[in-house]
Amino acid sequence: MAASGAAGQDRAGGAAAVRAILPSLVEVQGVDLMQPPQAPGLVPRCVAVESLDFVLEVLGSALALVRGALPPARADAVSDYATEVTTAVLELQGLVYHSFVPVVTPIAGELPGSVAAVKWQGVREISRTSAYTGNIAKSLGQQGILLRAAAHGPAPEAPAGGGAGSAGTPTRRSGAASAAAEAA
Amino acid sequence: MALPAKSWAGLWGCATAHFMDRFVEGVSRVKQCTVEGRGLMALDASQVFAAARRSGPLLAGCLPRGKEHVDLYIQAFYFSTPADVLPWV
Repeated sequence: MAASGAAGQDRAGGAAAVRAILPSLVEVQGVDLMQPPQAPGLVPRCVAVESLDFVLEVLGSALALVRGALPPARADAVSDYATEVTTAVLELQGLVYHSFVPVVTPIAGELPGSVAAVKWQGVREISRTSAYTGNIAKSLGQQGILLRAAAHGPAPEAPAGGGAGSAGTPTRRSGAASAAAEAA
Repeated sequence: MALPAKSWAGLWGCATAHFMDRFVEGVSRVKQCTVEGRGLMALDASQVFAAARRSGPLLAGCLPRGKEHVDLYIQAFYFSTPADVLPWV
């Protein structure tokens, strides 16, 4: 009994020590996780992945310093870790964006049927577009307004000339990946 | 909490690529098409892409596939021999 009582006191003391050392749990208040109503969860998830991207940028800027302070064998391991983490975050970004694409492009599912239903045998005037393109443009405009409202800011400039990259994921490299590549 | 500008661009790039993919799927279902019809397909694809460009930010690094993806597919209609098609594949 005495032994078990002492053990219980040790555990209680240990728990108190842990409580004293660790910070209290962070509770996020005032964040609407269902924002915006038309695409529930879009904004918090995008903020989360972009926050991770920012952490990667910080990691990338510190990577060269950390590598220089370590023996060569350990330095390579740090670079590998940075590359692995960067890949994971980029995959997460791609997953989040792709998971919301059907939500922000509800009319896209009708596009194949609309294209296939048109007679493509040159019977109409060559300068006129098909009727379905008007519906597509209207829907794109509405979804663009929705996202613009969610962003509360002006659109980034520098329009694209065309597609770049592949595999349907963003091709931008984060700071940590760039730093790892430079270090390698 | 607002949508970050980078997320907006990334999301819109993915959405535009999704539209281009759907367009290619529609074109792939067409069984009969003339040379003029191919021109009209390219015109429609341009119209859809222009609408996407007007409605949101399209950044080069955030656009997996653009209109040239559709154009490449439509151009394949013009091939007349297997030797032309194989490099395209």
